[in-house]
Amino acid sequence: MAKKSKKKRETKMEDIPMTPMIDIVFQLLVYFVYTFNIQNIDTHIQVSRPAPSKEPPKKDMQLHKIVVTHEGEYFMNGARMSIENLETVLQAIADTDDSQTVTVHCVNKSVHEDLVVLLNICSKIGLENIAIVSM
Amino acid sequence: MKHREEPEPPNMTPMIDIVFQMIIFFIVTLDLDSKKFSKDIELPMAPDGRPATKLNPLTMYVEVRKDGRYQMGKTVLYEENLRSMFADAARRYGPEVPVVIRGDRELLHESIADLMKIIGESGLYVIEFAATKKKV
Repeated sequence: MAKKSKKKRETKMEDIPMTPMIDIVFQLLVYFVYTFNIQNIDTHIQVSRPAPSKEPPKKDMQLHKIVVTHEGEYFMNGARMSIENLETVLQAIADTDDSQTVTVHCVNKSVHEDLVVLLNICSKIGLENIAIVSM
Repeated sequence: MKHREEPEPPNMTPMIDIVFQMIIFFIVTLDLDSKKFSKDIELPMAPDGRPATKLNPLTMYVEVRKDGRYQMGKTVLYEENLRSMFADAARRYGPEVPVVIRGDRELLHESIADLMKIIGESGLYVIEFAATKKKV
């Protein structure tokens, strides 16, 4: 009797039940299919808003004014500039002192991307004090 | 004799397996935070920005759709809603609560200007623009 039951157990060990493993594998499969989403790496570019005339502007503060137009053009202190030129000029500004304030004036109908392109350049160069003015 | 042997203890292994799977599932999907943004807003590219890490947990995210509508957590909000939310945040946690503006790349600046005005008037002043650093 005992011998018989041992034999029975041995035969049981031989064929491993595949069902739970398949269940788990299917579960994993479904899990990965559902959770697979491509994530872009985001960046946050900080800007400062000029406070509404609470403190008087510092006397020696140098302002560099860049205008973004609705056609995607950039004007720096009145002169039209390509984005490459702007980068060189801003680089020169940052080389002397990167705590200088750059004010970006955006026309209401300008496209958001043009502003971000400019902010990206400022961030690349290391200019930190950027104020955005809407007009 | 044979009759008594039959009620075997139930096999716990599959249940434990499933439970472990569920635990792992919940741990991994804790990152569902990243799904709170709309998929149809395409952020502008800014490859030289700093990657957005170590975020303040108080950060408020405002999405601005291409058509100029504002939304937070996939809910469309009007100016009054935004105003009260920002004012509430400023009152509770101070004026340094960061506001991240996630604007579509094709958006016109006027919507951003209005939003920044609302944020400023509500007493908050830390504003950040979200952009895509790298497309994966």
